[in-house]
This record gives sequence, structure tokens and C-alpha cells, in this order.
Amino acid sequence: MASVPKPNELVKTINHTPPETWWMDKKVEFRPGTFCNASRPQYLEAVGLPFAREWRVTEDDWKLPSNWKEIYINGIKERLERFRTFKVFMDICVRCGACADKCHFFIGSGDPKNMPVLRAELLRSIYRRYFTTSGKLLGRTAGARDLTEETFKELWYYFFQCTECRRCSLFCPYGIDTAEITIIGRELINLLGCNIDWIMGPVSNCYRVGNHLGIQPHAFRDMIEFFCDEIEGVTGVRPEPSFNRKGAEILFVTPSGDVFADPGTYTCMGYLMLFHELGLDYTWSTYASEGGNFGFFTSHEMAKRLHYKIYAEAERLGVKFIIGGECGHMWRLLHQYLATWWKPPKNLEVPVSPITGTRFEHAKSTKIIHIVEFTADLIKHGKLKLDPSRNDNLIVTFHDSCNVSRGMGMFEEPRYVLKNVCNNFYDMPPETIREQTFCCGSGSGLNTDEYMEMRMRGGMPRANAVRHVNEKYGVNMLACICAIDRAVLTPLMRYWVPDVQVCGLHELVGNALIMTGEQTRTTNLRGEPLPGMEEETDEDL
Amino acid sequence: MRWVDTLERNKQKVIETWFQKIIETYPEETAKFLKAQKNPFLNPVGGAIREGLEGIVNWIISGGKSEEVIPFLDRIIRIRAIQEFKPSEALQFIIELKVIIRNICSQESSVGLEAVDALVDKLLMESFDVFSKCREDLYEIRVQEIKDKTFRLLQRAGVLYEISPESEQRDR
Ligand code: SF4
Ligand code: SF4
Repeated sequence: MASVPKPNELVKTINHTPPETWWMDKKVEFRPGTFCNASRPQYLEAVGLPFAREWRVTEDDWKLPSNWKEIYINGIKERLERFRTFKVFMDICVRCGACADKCHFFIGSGDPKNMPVLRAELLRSIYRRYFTTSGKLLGRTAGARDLTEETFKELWYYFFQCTECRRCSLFCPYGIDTAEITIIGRELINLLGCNIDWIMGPVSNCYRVGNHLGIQPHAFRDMIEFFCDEIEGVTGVRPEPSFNRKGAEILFVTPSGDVFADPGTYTCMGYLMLFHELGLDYTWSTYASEGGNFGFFTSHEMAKRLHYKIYAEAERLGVKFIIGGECGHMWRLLHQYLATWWKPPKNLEVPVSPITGTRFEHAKSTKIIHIVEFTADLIKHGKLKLDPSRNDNLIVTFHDSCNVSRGMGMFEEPRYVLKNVCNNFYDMPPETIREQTFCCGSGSGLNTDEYMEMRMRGGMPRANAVRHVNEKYGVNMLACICAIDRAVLTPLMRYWVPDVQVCGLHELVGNALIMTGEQTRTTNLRGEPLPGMEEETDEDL
Repeated sequence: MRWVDTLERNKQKVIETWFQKIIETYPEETAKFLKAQKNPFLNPVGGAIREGLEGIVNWIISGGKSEEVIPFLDRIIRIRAIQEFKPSEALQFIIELKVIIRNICSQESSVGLEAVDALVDKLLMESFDVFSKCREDLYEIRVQEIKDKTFRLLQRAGVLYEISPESEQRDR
């Protein structure tokens, strides 16, 4: 009689434990959902980047230029000479492992190459091979390896699995910032024309038209007018913003996501309401219509180039200073890089709030302040009439976006504003917020839909902390001050914590703000009934 | 002794062995981390697996009478559904449970231990549903994101065909 195997015997034949392979020997597999698509050539051409061509990530032949190795290695050499940090970071890691379990991509994916130390090691091994004596002589034994097409693909894969969030750097005893290594790693990728579509599309649009989506001036203006209609519908008060107005005191620039993508649009309405209520002498530019800067995810030069339109417009319009909207990487750039790139135009002055007289000394070098600082200062001086109970249907928590928290140290202002515009606020566990905040998992230009699976891995630690406050306090709203976050936390919540929605801070400010001459409000900016107004809104319908 | 009582007494051992089995499906370095870091906010995958396993074992002990096991399955499968696993790899841990319970419980007298097989089979069936729900969610979310990105523009450009009660009528 044939013997039928017992369940345990059957199970024994299936072994899912991954085989032991040394990390250098493991080949990258490009599975859908875990990589971003290659850039279309026209995007590279639009900004004059080299080696524009049609190529596909999943094909064996990436159509690299014939002298690609030389270009890549020279690229490393040049950057070692230019960036002291890069040189130091290549040399001093002692592999203590303190950073290893701090990356959200490692935590969420379980892939050891997402340990920051190993991510850096991917490039470091190439560096050793071509730039250190031990590496040249001893090769593998000295942790060095050859640059081959396989290793290049691996570098590509993992440098687009780092959101440049800097969480790991917080824990490194030597201050090694793997984000900076990724930034250089991406610059090198760029030299070979292997950038991704989702970054290059916005870069080329921004360069030619002024914003990521390539929205032309009339459509940009039209959209803002449309928000004014909506605001009028909710409040009975119509803001009258100006566009490209010379002689305005302030230029306001926000990421275009606030103008075109839900739920950022409600945040944009909040800005319009606030400025209207203050009677602020400000203007929008339909040319500098983007606060975000995907150039930063391409190269230092590209970021520098794309920023200039903001200063050029500030100069043309003759404003005194600039207020920037709720954006993440815009602020990291302003804070860490801008002062070394461009001198602000002569007409700009140290920002002084025309309402409170507060002088924002810390913005002396760039003349740009963050709207959350501006609003927090207004509230502190009692300049806003607020009714936080209009947000009583919300139990709110706050996500510290990596760029504004770790990138520039802004922790208190948003919380201060939140506590004044809503009555129910609960922070997530301390090891997941402020400087230790977990990334949304989609930053640094990785917020494209084809990458959804990887984004869900990377965002898992963040979502897990939200889940906790959702279960413990009933949190149903995740507030943030970054346009990418508003866009990407929404799908992240849909997957991991479906009853939590996402909003910007100024959406809640807009809801709470009591405007002069307003009608009795029955709905919030999303058109949902205000607490206690459920019956009135029913009648309206 | 009834098998349920044996299982109840050996619950922690079963959960630990099962946890160990699951984390062995990850590379060695990862497995170490999943096991060692006990803070569920710093190790959310490890935390979720533990929480899920405990819920499932409790469900088995209760004789599998309720639908309440789905959230616990979801806790683990939602993660594995978006990690580098094939569906079979993602769900194999369910079958392991049969072997683990047998090995541990058959060392003592455990009357009616065969009942476990049927319960685990039931779990496996449920877990197929959970897995495909997670993948469907993922695709759905992707589509929804594309819509969210362009909705306002299309609405403004007047090219959105908004469904009103009348147009629905007409379509029928
Ligand atoms: S910068 Fe952030 S994403 Fe990149 S390796 Fe460090 S923790 Fe990970
Ligand atoms: S913490 Fe710093 S020194 Fe230690 S392994 Fe990570 S990068 Fe290297």
C-alpha cells in the first residue's frame, strides 16, 4: 500500500527559510510593486541631463553608456573631493550596528540590505575597491567588490529604497548620515541617466512651468479661485487673493499638492481664509507655483536650479519676505542648503510679522518663514479668534514629517497650533515622534503608485503607532505639515488603519477660525456637518 | 486529559515555537531583530506577529467557535502580504501550527487531538480570504491614489462625468 505522508512530513519538504548567501552575492530581483519606473527620456532632455533614452528596469539591458564604469567611478572621485562628509562617511563606519534596526524600510520589509549600515556598505564596497589600497589589493577580504552591471542595479534598487529621512543618523555614534550617502548615490545614478520617472517628471515640469504637475498659470489661478468659491459656500466670506501683484509685502509659496491634490486642497483653503481674515498684504505667484523641490532627489545642482524661481519672483514682485506653506523637503532645503546656494535678492528683509511685530531672526539668511511659525506666533499673541469645538468630531494625532522635524527641528509650533484649534489631541508613543519620528515611507520622490507595495512596507512602523492611538484614544485624524505626507499617509492609513483620515494643520485652523462677517457655519471645509449641526445640514440637502 | 487542557497549559510554549518558526522565514539578521526587540513600536512586525499568534491559539483553545479569529489572522497576513513572499510562503505558517501543537501536546495525554487538524484547516481557508483581501486592498488603494491626484483638476476642467440621480436613470 502506498504510504500517505502525514502533514508534518509534507511540511518538512517545504522549506521557506531563505538560503544563506553572502550579501555581496545576492542578486536583486525586480518584482512589481518594489521599484519605481524608469524616467521617460523627454524629462531628462528637458533639463539637459545626460543619456536620455528609453529603458526598462525589468529588462536585462539598461542601455548604459559604453564607458559607464568610468563615469561612475569618476563621479565618486569628484564627490569625495567636493564633499568632506561623503569622504568621512565612506571611511569611518565601525559597523557597530547601532543604526541597523532604525530604518523603517528594514523594519517593515525585513530585508537586511535596508539596514542603513548595509545600504551604505553597498557603495562603500565600491569605494574601497577603487579608492583604498587594502580594497585594491585584497578585494573581498577587505570588504571591496567590483563595479558590475549587477552591483549597479543593486545600488539603484536600494538607493530608491531610502527616503533620506535621517532617522538612522540620530543613532550613529559617529554622526554618519546615510541619507547623505543616498543623496550622493542618487547623484551617481543620475550621471548614467537612470533616474526614475516620478522624480524626473516633476523636475522637468517644475523647471519649465513652475510646478510639479506642469499646471499653467491660468489653471493655477483658476484652481485657487475655485477654493474661494468653496470657502464662500461654507463661511459666506469670500477671500480675494491676488496673483503676481507687484509691491505686495509678502510672497506666499506652497507645494502644488496643496492646490491640486486632496486632502491638501483643504489645507490650501485654510491658508486663504487665514490670510483673508488678517487682511495680509500678500500675493501668489503663478510662476513660482511650487514649494516642493524634487531637484533635491536628483542632485544638489538641480535643487539649487529649481529653487531660484522663488527668489526670482520675490525680486520681480518686490516683496519684503516670503512665507512658505506646509511642506517637508522645501524646509529641509531652506534650512540646510539654501543659504549656501543663493543670496536672497536685495529687496528681501528679515521677516517681521505685520500683525504681531515679531521679527523672525532665525530666517535672517533666507528671508523665508514657515507658515506654522507664522500662525503659532499669531495665536501666541491672541490675534486669532478660534472656536476649536468646530473640530470636536476629530480626535487628532500629529505626524512629525522627517524634513521639518529632523531636518530643521520644528516640534513645538505645530503642536501648539493644534492644541489651540482642536480640543482632542493625543501624541503617538515618544519613540515614534519628534526627532525619532518614523517616516511616511514614501518621501524623497518615492510617492508613486507603482511603488505601493514597498511604500506600505516602509510606512508600516508609522502606521503601527497611529494604530495604537487609534485603539487607545479613538484617534481618527492624522495631521501633518507636509504635502507629500498628506498625499501618501492617506493610502497608508487606508491599508493599515482604515478609520483614520489625514489632514494638514491649516485645514483645522480654517475650520476653527472665526471670520469677520461669517455666516453660521454648518459644515467643515470638507462639507461634512459640524458637530451639533447634523440636522441643519440634513435640511440643506 | 482533554487536548484543550493540555494546549492551554502549554500555550506559551506553542506560541514561542510558532513565533520562532515564522521568523525563520526571514533572513537571519532580521530574525534576530524580530525576536530580540521587545518594544512593539520599534519592532512592529515582531509585535504584530506575537499578538496575532496569541489570538489564534486562544481561538483554537476556545474550539474555534467564533469568527473572531479574522482580526488576528489579518494582523499577521496584512504584513506578509506586502513583504517579499509568494502567497504560499506567506501563509505556510498556518500549517506549521498542526505540527507544533501535535509535537507539544502528544508528549502528554491529549484526548481527541485530531480535532486540531480540522481547526487548522479552517484557519487556512480563512487565511486565503484574508490574504486576497489584503492584495485587493493594495490594488484598490493604488487606483484610488491615482484618482485623488487628478480629481480636482478634472473636476475643474469640467471633464468629470459626475453621476447624478438623473444620469444614473439614463444609463439604465
Ligand atoms: S535615511 Fe532613513 S530611509 Fe535612509 S537608511 Fe536612514 S533610516 Fe533608512
Ligand atoms: S551606527 Fe554609524 S558607525 Fe555604527 S554601523 Fe551605523 S553608520 Fe556605522
